[in-house]
Amino acid sequence: MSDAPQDLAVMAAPGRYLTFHLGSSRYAVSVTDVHTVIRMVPVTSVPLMPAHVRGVINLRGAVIAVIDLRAKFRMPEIEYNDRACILVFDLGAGSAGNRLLGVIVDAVDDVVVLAAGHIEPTPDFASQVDVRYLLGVATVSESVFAILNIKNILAVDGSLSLPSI
Amino acid sequence: MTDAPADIPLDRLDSIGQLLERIAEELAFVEEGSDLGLLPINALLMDLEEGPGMESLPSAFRKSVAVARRWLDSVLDGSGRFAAADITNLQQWIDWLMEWLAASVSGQPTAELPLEWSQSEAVAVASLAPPAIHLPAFPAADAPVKSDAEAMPVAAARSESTPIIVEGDVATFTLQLPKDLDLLREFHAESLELLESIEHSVLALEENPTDADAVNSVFRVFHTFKGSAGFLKFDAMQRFAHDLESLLDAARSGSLAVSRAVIDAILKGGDVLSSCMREVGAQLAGDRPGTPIAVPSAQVLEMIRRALAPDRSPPAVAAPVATAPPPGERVETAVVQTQAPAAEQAKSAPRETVAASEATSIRVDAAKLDDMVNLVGELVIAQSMVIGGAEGSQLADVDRDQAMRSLMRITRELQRNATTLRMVPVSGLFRKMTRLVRDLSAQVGKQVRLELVGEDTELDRQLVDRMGDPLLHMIRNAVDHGVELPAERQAAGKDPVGIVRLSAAHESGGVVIRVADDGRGLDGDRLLAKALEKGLIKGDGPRSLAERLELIFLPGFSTASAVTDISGRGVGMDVVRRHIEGLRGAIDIASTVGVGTTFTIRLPLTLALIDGLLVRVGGERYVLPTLAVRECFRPEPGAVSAVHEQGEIVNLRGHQIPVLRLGAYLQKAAQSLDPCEGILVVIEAAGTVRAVLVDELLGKQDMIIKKLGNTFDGNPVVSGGAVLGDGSVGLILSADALVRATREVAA
Repeated sequence: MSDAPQDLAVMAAPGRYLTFHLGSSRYAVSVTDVHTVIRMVPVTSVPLMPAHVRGVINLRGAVIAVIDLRAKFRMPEIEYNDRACILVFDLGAGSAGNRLLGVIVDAVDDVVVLAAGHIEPTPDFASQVDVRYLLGVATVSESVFAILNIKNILAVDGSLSLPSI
Repeated sequence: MTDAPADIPLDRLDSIGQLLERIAEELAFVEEGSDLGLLPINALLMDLEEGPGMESLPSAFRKSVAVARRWLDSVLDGSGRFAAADITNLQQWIDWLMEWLAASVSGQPTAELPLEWSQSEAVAVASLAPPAIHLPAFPAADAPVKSDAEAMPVAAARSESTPIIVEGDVATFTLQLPKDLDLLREFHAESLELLESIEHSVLALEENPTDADAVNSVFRVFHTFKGSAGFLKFDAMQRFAHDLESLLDAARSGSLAVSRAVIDAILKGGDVLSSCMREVGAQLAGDRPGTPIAVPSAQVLEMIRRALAPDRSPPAVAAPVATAPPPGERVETAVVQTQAPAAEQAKSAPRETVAASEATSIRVDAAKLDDMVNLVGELVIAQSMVIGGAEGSQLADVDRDQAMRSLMRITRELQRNATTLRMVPVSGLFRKMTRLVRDLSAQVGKQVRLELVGEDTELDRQLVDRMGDPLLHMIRNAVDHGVELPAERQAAGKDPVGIVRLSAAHESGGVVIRVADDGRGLDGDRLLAKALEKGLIKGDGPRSLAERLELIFLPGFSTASAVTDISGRGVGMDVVRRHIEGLRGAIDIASTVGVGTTFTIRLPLTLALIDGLLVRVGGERYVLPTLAVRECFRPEPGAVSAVHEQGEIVNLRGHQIPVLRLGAYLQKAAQSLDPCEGILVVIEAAGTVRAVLVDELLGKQDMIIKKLGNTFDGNPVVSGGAVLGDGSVGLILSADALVRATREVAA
């Protein structure tokens, strides 16, 4: 792991991506970062934490933290229905102790293969999503996906500390 | 030479026979030019040598064992591989011994030792008389020790500050990392235990210099080191261990009395070996692998030489200086080569850290493992019974109930068993303190005896490892500040020898460790004056002695009027308390002026489990550590009163205890707005008592602690998670944080 993801010029590499949505916005994350996807389960809330840290769940005997991506992106809160999922990301052995982290999303859509031609650099648009969180934008069969830099999303703000190297 | 066979007890012959059979088995696999079987045979031979009542066995047997020892040593010291002649010899030897044994058992006269063996034995004994010490081959090596009077104090002083002494003849060895990885790991783990046992034996030896068991056990340690080092081709370490072994051999044979000098040499030798092994450990952990590791043996070799020949004047090594290359230059180059690793070593190994030996692999009693395997077997059977009952309903309800019950029983036992796998006795930890007290009391000119009680008490390995530093600090305090100087003690009518007692015991589901000294004790008035002077407290301060004693746990408090080299390292009792509370333990102090001071540390048995009290607040469940819970009660109406701008206070048997509404503090809705509808849980941490208001008590059980990960590192109140019976996660709240929270709410 390095500081590289902080650099705005970093672009997503071609490969397989998992797509999901929050409201009407569509997102893609590299499947290599995804450990597993589970159905929404009751989350034990942890007091005195920022709103986007939803709490902890028991994932096959391991206790992992769960992040509410809507809260993180300052989107309106909704009641999650049975399509809601927790994406469990594997942040790699480098991050001491906190290898797995869960992220709640409205629904998971598909796994798509993105070629280099699909991926464009992040446009300089003023959206509610911080550009540090993006690795580019992909257009596949007329749908537009924001490719998320999931490690940055889970590391910045000081609320989730990945060790700085 | 025929011996009367009736003298030997039959069971002794039996055990010899078993050892011989095992040696014979190992011998069958030995091949020419290979080291296969060398170490097992060596170990078995050592068992044979150290069996009980060796002196009372017939001399033919003893001689034959000595013969085999000599052969094996020549293999170990030499190529480390068996030659054809060695194998033939050993086979003849085992044949002869088997015959001897058979004859002894049946009461027949035993055969004599083959002539050529006893001859070579005589030669060997003669050559052994002045134990052979490998003196450094390096010509300039002896230069630094030319002048006794100067060289020794300098070397000694230097060794205090850096673990590695840079002398002229520092030999090095290099790890063959990828190739010998497994062997090295094993050697490293084993060596840590061996080195620990050295200190223990040596201290026993100091009390009773004629203790043959202690001499043998130290000998065995160095011997094992030599064997393993030779096996791994660590020539420098092997030679060094051999020299130490020779010293012990002389002591063992009675030709050398165990003096202070001998003991110092052994301890220093052990230090050198452990500094080498620390470096091996660091390289195994991936720290600059492949760097040569120095064996700074010069000082110890000189000590050995003196110990062996105390009357002899230092060897006249300085004579050939004219013909030797200029010693200065050679020494310098050697120093330059080795200084870098030495300096790094000094940096990477913090001074006096006993927790350094945190091993990644642990030794487990084979019986415990067997139990575990059996339990898993039972578990599988019970499971199939339950499943069979559920699916085919061939089983009657009674049977299913029974199957369920046995499943529960097995699960419980399995859990208990799994917990004990992590348990180790505290003896290793305690022994390290023996060395500390010995060195320290000499340094400060006091006479201190360390008494160890309850060394067999078992505790989670992690706890044992992490209690090293706090204990070290407290023992240091006890010796440095607690125990008085001999003259002072005599003036007070006490025995000039002070006693520091370190004890461990199982108490109320946990382990209690006490550090007690019979020294001058702590003066409550002086503590108070000091705390006021330092501005640590304001106003009148506490009245009772117990509360005044608590002052020493305040950050920035140090009782020594002068900061000495020993205690004044900026680490106070506040750090000790924080450390122990980090282990979910607690520390208390009791002291009487003129009689002594006792610290009582309470620890959970293991860090993997928590004895937790499950409570409900609104819709949430939390776990409070039972160790911190004093009592729970439902307050009478009117018992809780609001103090203006100070929060609420409950009257409990005349004591006013601040109340913390858990729901409000955690910013969750709670049901019990009226305290009389809820339950007050009285907790104690850091010497402070607080009452925590919850809605309901749900139960008390052992729970497995799960780390929450660094997302929650900054969370002030949640210390971990526990998986509850329904599979959801319960949050464990830190008693320390709750106590502090009340203080903040009140302030």
